[in-house]
Amino acid sequence: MSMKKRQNIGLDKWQIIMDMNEFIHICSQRNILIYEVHEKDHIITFYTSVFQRYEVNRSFENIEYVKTTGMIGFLLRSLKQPARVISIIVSVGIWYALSNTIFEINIKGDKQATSQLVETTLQEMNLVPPFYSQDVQQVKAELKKALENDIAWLEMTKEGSRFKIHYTTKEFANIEPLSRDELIAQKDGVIAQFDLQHGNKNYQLNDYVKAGDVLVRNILTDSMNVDEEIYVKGKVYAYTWEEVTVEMDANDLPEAFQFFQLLFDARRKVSEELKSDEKIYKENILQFSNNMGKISMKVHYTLFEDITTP
Amino acid sequence: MISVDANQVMIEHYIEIRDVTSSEIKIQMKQYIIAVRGKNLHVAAMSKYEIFIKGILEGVIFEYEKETEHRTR
Repeated sequence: MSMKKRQNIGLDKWQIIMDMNEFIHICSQRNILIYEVHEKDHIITFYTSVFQRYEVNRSFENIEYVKTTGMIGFLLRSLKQPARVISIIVSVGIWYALSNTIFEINIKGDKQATSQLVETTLQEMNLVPPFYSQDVQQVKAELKKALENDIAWLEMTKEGSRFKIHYTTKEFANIEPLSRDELIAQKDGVIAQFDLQHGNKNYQLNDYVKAGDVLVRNILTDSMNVDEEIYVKGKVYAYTWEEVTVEMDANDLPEAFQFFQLLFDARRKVSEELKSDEKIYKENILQFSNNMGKISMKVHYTLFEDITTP
Repeated sequence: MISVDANQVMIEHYIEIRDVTSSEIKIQMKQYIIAVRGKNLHVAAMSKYEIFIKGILEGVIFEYEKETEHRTR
């Protein structure tokens, strides 16, 4: 390392009046590392490491400390001024306090309701930001214990001034008790599909059924002609029919717009009671007319729907 | 071990510094003395094992004490 760099980091500068040979001899004897030794008018000036200050003072009686160079000198001079010492202490205090304070908790998971539950549990544990940082593993263990019935997996990490919580909710199997109630047609229709887990089919595909017919029975006759009561569970889909009439006041819109507006109205009307697994199978427009200032449309729909539930 | 460069000399594993002036620095080695001669010589750095001298170098002379004594006899 060059002398310039050493001086920039920090060296003690000294001066002493004594014989050069004696000075060199003492330094060598006491193992004092010296730099830039100059003699002028019997005054020797030299530099030493800051860490050898005590040894230098001990080795030479009438030595005079001149200054400390570089960054170390700046720091040492700063430490002699109370205002700077206070500001350093306050800065360190603020830094320590801020770095040990949690300002935010991020909760990520698969259910909004569970996130809310985690948040509430944290509040019950008095962990409402901002709060003094605690051992993440301990908080995680407490949180896991508090939510053991709701959460399957939970991970908690600390990133700066933030707690990050990831979780997955515990899944419970919904076990529905099986019943022996027969499936009865609620509407007229043509059987399109059976979706059965339990039960004895009373009709085949494409059979025409009327409202009130028993579609799936709870009795199964075995080869010995003995009836056995069985569970019934499932759905029976059928093609059903519905005629929808919609109308609106005559207006200046082009006829095509009027036509589609009424068509969409009809579709909306017929779809109101359809469930997610049901759909419009066919659509036949029977009439589109303009009478006495009223435009009307009659549409015949063939629907694909579960006819066992009202 | 001695390393000489323009206006600077590095001497390692010396025994002691015998004499220091601005025109000559004498260093005792194990079997001989190194005399660094020049102008404005000064010790740029010194530790227990090495000394680094700077200044306008004029010569580095090796003096063998035992041989000198033998010749005198």
